[in-house]
Amino acid sequence: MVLSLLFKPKELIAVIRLMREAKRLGMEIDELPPEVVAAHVLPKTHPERYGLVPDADVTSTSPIEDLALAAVKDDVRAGNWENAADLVTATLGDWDRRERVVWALADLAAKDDTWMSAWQAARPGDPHWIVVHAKALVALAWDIRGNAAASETTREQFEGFHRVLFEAREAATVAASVLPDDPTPWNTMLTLARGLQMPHDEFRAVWAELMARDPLHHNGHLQALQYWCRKWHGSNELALEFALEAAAKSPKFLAWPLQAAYEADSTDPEMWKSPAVVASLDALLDRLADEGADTYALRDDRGYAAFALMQLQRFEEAVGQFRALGALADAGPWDYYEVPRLTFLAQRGVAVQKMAKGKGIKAPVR
Amino acid sequence: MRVSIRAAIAVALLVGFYVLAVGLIGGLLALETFALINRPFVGLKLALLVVPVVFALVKGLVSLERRETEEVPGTLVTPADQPALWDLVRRLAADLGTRPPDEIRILAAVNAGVAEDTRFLGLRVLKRRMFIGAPLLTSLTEKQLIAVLAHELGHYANKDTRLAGVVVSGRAAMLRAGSHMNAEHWFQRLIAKLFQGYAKLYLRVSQAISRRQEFAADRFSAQLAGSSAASSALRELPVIDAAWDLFTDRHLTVAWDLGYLPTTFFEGFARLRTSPELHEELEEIRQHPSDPDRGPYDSHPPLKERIAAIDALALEPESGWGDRPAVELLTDPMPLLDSAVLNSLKSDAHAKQRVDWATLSHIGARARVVHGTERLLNAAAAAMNQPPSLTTVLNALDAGRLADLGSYTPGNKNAGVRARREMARGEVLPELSALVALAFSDAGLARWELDWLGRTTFVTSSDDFDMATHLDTAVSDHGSTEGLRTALAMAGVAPDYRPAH
Repeated sequence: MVLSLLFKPKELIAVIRLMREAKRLGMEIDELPPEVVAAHVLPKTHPERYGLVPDADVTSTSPIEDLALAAVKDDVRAGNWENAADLVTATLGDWDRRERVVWALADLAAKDDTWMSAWQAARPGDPHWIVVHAKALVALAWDIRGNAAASETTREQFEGFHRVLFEAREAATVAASVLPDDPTPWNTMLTLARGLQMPHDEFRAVWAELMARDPLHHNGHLQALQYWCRKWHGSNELALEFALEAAAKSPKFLAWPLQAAYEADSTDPEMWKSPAVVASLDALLDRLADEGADTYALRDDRGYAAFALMQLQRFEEAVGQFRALGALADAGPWDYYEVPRLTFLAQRGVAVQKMAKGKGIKAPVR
Repeated sequence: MRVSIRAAIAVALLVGFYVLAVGLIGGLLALETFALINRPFVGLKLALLVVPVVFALVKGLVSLERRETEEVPGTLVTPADQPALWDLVRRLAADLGTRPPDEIRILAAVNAGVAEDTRFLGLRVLKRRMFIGAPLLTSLTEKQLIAVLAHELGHYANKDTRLAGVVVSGRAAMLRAGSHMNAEHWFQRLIAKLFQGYAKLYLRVSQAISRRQEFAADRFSAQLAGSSAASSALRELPVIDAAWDLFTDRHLTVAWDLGYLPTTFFEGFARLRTSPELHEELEEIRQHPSDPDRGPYDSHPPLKERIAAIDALALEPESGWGDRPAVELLTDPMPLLDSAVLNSLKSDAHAKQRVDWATLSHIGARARVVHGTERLLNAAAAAMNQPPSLTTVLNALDAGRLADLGSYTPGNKNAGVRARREMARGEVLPELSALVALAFSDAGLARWELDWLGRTTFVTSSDDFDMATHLDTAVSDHGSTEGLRTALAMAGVAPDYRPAH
């Protein structure tokens, strides 16, 4: 790494500056706060000249999208579970929103389940309770395991992870039986399929149950896409095949093939250039032309579109997507990184620089 | 190259070793004397170099001669004690045309051998000793034992290559070369290197002789015991070795630290050898014999080649040898064999309490279980500020302190108290289960049994002791320890029960 820097004078200068800065602050270069590093290594551009928000305004904090959900989360943190329980009950039928509400509450329950116990005691047998409970166990299992590589995960963490995932599967099965129309417990099973290394046939059976209840379940498709990825239980090809089928079902899934290509980036970077992926990208850009960026899902689509455009040297169009994203670096693919904001700014800076130098492919007239 | 020529070279190398060392010492001393007489000042300076070198050389030579002063291992058996065994060994020696050993010693190891106390790198022999492993005596037939002993005596019986016996003794001495040198001191290190380099040359020259010697010794073995007994003995050695390892590791010393030994040793070993749970494993080893690791300078050819060579000879045994178990050669064998094992153990072995095998297994298994409950007892005591006991653990659970009884941290740094509690559940349940099992066992209602493979099982006198449901309820989130407490009280377990060591 050090040797390769010698041939990149600009990066070498940046590293030397960082070393000086680290010495001044009395710390190791690895310990420097991300913001300090960013100030030295991010491309120096003038975003405002291209209709982009200044670097300092960019944030990875999502604006509140669902006011009711935000309110019940506050209630739960204060120890009041009733409104949360009522909101979950009210989402029956609006499956995508139900998924978001259940997931958000499950995340809270995985940290502290006192309010869940109160809910269960006050409304014994509430079918919505067990839906949240099952999802909370999945979140809890992942909290126990953590996101470290297998080699850095202890035997006890793995044991706890598997034990709780099995409990989650049991709970999801009960939830599915008490609310037969609800796709949410089936999506919980899709989610834990990865951790339990569910075989393909069994996974397809669960998938069929979900599709029978909501053929366009947004999060369900995302969970399945992850399952079919190479790093889990599929391959680059299986993931792309799945994503293309989904994109053919609905224009709202047009970004899925880009996500498949993103997941394959480290093992098959050529996938970005495959005609099917490029066609999906162009179709997605057409669709996004008439839409804003005011939902998380839209920003997610635009983020993957911007990333794909960068890979294809279509910098001018990428800058267009960054312009539409404005100050929000909260969605994919930035949320994969430790400091999403800096990844967003780095990509945006490169896009602007290359476009300004007239590099890459010009945007077509639409 | 013919064996005799090689052997002559090897012996020349042995002698040369002394010539080299003594020559160097003599030369250096002569030079020093010459210098001191003619140029006293230069002589003094030269002495700074010569004295340490001569000292190191002398020390190196001494290291070849000086035996480790440790005791000779094994239990000595006299011809008066064991006439049949001595008669057999003497007859074998006579048949092979070599001197019978001066001593026979019984070892607690899967091994047999003849060793000699030598001087001058094996050029002169002081005493010849035969060692016989006690497990061999109890596991082989008479013919197989004859095959093993004939092989060992055969090393000293090769009439065609009179020098080869010396060569083999020399190897043992050469392996010691330089072993007494002080590695900290660079002069001595240098001389040690010199000696060892010479020793390596010797070992290489003599390697082929040694291998040939092994085959020759196998031939003697087959001539006396017959091919089939000789090759079956070779097949049996790894089997006995595996069984003996298992026996000593998992059974004999299972409660050693607690001060216990079994009343009888070889009675247990015999039961292990014939136990049904081991049958398959031992048969597997018998069918696929593999060589033990004997170090880089070992001269034994691979076991499979030796077996094939012996089988190819297709020799019939000399008449007069029986197929009875070898142990029948011994008068009152068990006390002798057991004492050989006892003598091989550390000196405090005699102070151990002797108990029957079932008791020993239970004590050994119980100690491991006790060890596995200490963490939980201490964690509960700390959480509740009460003395460590089973009741304190149950109190902590009833007080909702499960999370405080665990010691593991979840993988996600931002995980909440629930994740810690969940990990503690996985940790506490088996420990609590062990603690309850100990309470039942100490109340005389259950015990641990060890099978000969070394697996323990917890045995209760009735099915009433199935505590699984009570244990699960005790550690579950909205559970209770009531069921467990009732069951323990009915079994007569004291409330402040704490396992004794």
